[in-house]
Amino acid sequence: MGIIADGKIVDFTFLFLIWAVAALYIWVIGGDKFNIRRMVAIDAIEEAVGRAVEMGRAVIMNIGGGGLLRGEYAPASMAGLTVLGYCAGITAKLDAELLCPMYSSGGVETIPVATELIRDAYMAEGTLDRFNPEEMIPFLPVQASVMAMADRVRPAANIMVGYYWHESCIWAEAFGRVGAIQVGGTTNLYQIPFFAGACDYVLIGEEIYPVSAYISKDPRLIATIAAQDTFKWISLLLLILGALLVTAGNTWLSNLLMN
Amino acid sequence: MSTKIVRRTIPLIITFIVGMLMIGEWFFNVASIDQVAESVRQWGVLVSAFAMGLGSVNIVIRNLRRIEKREGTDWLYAIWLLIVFFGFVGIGVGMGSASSQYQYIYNTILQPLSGTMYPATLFFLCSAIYRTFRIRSYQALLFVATGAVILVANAPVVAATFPLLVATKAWIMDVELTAAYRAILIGIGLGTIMLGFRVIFGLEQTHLGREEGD
Repeated sequence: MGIIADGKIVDFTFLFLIWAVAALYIWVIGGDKFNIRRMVAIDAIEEAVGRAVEMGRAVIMNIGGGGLLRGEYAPASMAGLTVLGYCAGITAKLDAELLCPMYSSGGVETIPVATELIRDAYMAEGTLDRFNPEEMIPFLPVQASVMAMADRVRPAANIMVGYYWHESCIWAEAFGRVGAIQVGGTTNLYQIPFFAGACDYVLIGEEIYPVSAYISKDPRLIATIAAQDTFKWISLLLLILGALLVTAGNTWLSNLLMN
Repeated sequence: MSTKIVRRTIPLIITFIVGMLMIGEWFFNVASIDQVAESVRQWGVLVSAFAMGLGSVNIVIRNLRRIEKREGTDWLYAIWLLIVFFGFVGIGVGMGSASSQYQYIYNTILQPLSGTMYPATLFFLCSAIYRTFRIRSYQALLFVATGAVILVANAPVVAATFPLLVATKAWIMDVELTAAYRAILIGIGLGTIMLGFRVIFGLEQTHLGREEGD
């Protein structure tokens, strides 16, 4: 038994290579050499908050029920928190009402993080007096409570970025019915079609991750997105090569990747 | 200690150590790393339990305020919510979650009510399909055509009459859909790895909040 666990040698090598390329792009090439494309869904958030201000209605931002403790859901929740911080900054600046319902008993650890994020955003904009955590961050442990909130509050905008299960469909429909402009994004493959169908703007899968790079335009963050794209091309090449080799009866590459 | 050290530096150091520890546990056969990683996971469960307490306090405060304001009819529901909340907590703490009283409330009220939400998805799906299937562009036309083939081919009578539709459906599901899903999945995987890199090495700090002047 080696020091690296069985069946994880290639995984570890790839992780090391991805990180090495990211480090190369950040510290050697420099992130300012790369551009990040326009993300319409993120641009729409400011527009949606502006609409809410004009209509005198609230903005609802929700980060799903994935929480931060389960590895497969935590990255999506982290992305959701990033969007929440951005959204809170805009609502604080434009004097819009923000509500951030925290859903699911499985993801309650996000409550204190979300509270601090919103508080910091309001403090940074000098509007801490408008920060009221009990009203702004209600804990609604079942899906129906969020649907009831849609009907009661009738918000002008609903932003859902995080990890969602079947609530993606019922919430998007509930908020769509009250006329809210909607931005949805998740990494749960099976819920992406619901967001694509029911929301006005959608972030598909990995698009929820580079939000902080897009907002901040920090060259170091943009460099990591470029590294990610490089490995997307490498994955594509491996896919084509693997398909050709397997078709020709050669399983060398697929066997290698199993190690 | 200055605010920056408490709110930025220390969380970033903890994130780096815990992140590297978890990666080490996944890839390496070292028993001591496994033990420490397991302890860290237990701490996570504890933090989550505290947060649950915070959520409960939030529910009580919000509903007490609602009762105090007495706006509309919502405050009546708030009274009912608090009665149920304290009743359920009282029975759970006093008699235990394995008691027949607690189980009765859970099995005969909470579970059926939660289960009711799942069939409700059907109606929301129907209205979502109606909104999605409006043809406003050629992409929407393709979407409707593909969706129609899948929908129709799932009906046994159509499948029996037009076997070609079943083959078309199978091709869409096995080739087109699987290819698209895998492409998205690869992107999500790479995105997750890179997010991990940014968080572990402190490049991504948005989740730590903003500072005045940011």
